[in-house]
Amino acid sequence: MSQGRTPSPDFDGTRYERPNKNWICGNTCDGCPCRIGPSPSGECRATTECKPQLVTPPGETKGTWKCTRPKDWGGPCPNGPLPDGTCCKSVPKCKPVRSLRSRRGLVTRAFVIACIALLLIGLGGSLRESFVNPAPLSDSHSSLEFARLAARQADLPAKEAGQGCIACHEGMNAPFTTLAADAVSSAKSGLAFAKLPTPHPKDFSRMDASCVACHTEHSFHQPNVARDTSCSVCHIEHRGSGPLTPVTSQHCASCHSDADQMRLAAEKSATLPASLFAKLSAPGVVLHPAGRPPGGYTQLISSFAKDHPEFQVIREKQTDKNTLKFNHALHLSGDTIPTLGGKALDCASCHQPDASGAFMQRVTFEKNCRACHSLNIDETTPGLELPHGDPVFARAFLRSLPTQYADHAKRTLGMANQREIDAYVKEKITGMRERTLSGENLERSVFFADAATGDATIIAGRQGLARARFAGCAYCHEVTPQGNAAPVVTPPQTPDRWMQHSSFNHAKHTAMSCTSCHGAHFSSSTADIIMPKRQSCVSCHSPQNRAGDSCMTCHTYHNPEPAGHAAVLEAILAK
Amino acid sequence: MIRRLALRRLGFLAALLVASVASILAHEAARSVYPHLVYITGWALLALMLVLTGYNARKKLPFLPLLKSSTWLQIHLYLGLFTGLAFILHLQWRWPGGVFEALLSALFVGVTLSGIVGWWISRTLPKRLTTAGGEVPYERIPVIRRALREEAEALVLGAIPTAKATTLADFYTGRLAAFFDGPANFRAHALGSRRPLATLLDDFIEVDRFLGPAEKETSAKLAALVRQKDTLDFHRTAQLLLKSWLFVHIPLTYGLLVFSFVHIVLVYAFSGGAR
Repeated sequence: MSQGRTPSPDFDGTRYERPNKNWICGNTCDGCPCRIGPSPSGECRATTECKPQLVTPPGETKGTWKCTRPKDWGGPCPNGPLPDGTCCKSVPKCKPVRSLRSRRGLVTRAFVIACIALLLIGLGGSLRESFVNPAPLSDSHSSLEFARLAARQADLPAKEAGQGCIACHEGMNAPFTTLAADAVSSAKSGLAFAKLPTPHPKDFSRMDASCVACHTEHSFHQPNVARDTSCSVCHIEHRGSGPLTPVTSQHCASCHSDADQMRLAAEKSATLPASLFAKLSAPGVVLHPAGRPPGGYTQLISSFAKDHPEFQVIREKQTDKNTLKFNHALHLSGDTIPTLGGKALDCASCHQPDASGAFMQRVTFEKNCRACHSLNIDETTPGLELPHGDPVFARAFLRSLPTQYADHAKRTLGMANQREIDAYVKEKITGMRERTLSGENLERSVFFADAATGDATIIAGRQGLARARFAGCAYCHEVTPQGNAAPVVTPPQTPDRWMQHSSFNHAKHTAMSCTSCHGAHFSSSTADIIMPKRQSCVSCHSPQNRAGDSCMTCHTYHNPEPAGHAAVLEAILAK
Repeated sequence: MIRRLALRRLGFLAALLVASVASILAHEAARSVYPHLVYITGWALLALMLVLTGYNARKKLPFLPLLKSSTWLQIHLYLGLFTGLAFILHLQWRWPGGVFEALLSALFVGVTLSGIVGWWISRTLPKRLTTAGGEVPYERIPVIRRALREEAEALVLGAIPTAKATTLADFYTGRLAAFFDGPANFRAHALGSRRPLATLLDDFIEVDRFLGPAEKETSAKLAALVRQKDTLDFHRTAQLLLKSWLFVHIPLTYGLLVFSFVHIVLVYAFSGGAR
């Protein structure tokens, strides 16, 4: 650059190559373009510097050729035109070159052609699957086994199924025109402009049918769902290798926080029989009969910590219908409770996790009660115990008491002499008769004595030195007299699962004490359901704390479709 | 005038900022509610791209009363930046992993970056051109360069009989002929360096020691011509840069449109999950 501003150089402002021309004179770069310039198609039009004119003065017939070179090109030349009337100054021919603008257009066209060629290569033939794949699939949908499965479903030879894209995308191998037609059809139906701003999950679709072809029993959520949801709403594919992208709480909230959806679900729920909502469980697993709220589970929920309703068992103040009489508080903190192996009773004394650690094993008399609660009906004969589990057997035991004493003498005391045995039996029966006066009294006290009338109240006097004395069946059980027949003892039915719509894993909560969630110290009645309140869970499971608060932590979307669901729906529709 | 331009720029910037923040907030709020949001952002993105491409068509139709070209340029610039954000929202904050989508995204990024570079060039180079002076149409530069060369050659030839020596002519042949013959020092001018000119002028000082008074006068005139030629070269470099960034921006734009069309077809054709 020069020092300071340089003045503009002198040039003829009226004559320069217009930038919108496609061709410019080949001599332009030398600074001497011809006056006429190339034709629009790029051909040199240079001939001579002028076109001489024949001037014929008055009175002359022959005339003279005059040079017509313009002034800005130097004016008429000194030699003038040749005798035949042609200009003596011929302009050398050039090879016109494209203007910058024309070159830009050329580059643009070439680039567009290159793009189209690249697309043709990518979309045609065997490269298409890899080319159009927006991102790697999850491991399970990108394996060779998946490709083989896709081939089988499409009824194609394995090599023609490629990577298995055809399992979900039917048109993968179709010509581009078919794809375009498919796209237009899609744009007119499911993806019409008017439907795009719909704040609801996508409907169950053709591709979902491909999903449930393998994932059977995954198409169902609840009978009262107002609109089915496409698998791809929650399970988003093409997000890279590894497992599928985790489902988030937002997916659940898209319906469960939508007032319209929940209202429709509640309305539909009212039209369906309750049997369709029965929760299926693994064989042998006892569920707490929580019952279904009138409107179903259609409260608006946006997140667990924010507005998840209180757990149903707590909210509805449900009670445990178990007929077994048990006092958690007494067992955990009562002064009269003896130690077990020198250790005070705690939750783990009775509640042990199952093999998976997720839930607790069922509490049984044999495993968890017998150690303290003796079935010994005669204090003077340790080891002679009533059979547990069936009142008929218990009554038979009592009615064959002499035989039982004799058997006890032989097996436990090792007596062999019959006379000795008979004497032992006589002594025992006499003692028993003195205490109970009659067999009827004995049976009554065994079956019907309870906490108020039975001997169990004297356990406190034992100072934990021995097992609790047998108080009577009714001390723990509900016993119903049946006249002359054996009384009926209602079998205790302790649920294995208290909250049937959610899952829980005790193994993941071992860092906490049981009583931090279960208020067992304050429960003196079997009817108390000592499940934690929602707030107890929220104290950890919330965005502010470490534990996750995703819906999937406790709930599962998919359910097996209840038997007769389709028939019931058809009947309702027919109505 | 400058104040009005500054106000207009401030207005566009504020509008861009408000639109960007509002778009991000609206998008994030709607993301979990509208499963078709990605289609909505896609169509919006296409509409923005077509409007941006429309600027090129607008330039070709100057007779149409569709706002001033300068207003269109401002809209093109700020809408282009906003389109970048729309693109990120359409991608939902992730870079695509597939070949086709990566190519499509690369084209978009290429168009956006070339546009930003072009914007920067269009903002900086004209100031430097004005500072340098010597305004000249790009297409006229070869003619002026030739005139300068002829003037320089005439000076040198004219100095030989007076000085009875060829010192200056030799200097011209050895050092200046190539400089006057064609465009020179493109890279130095593009980077704003004055070193080549300074070196040439230093050479003048060197050769002046061997010249007589008459030759020194010619030498000074020749140095002035060198300065003029240097300014001309700077104009050529700057104007070429101002034009050549479009060699990237425009082809990429049309390539992007082609890819976008195929992208729409593929998305709709393979969108079985949305039927």
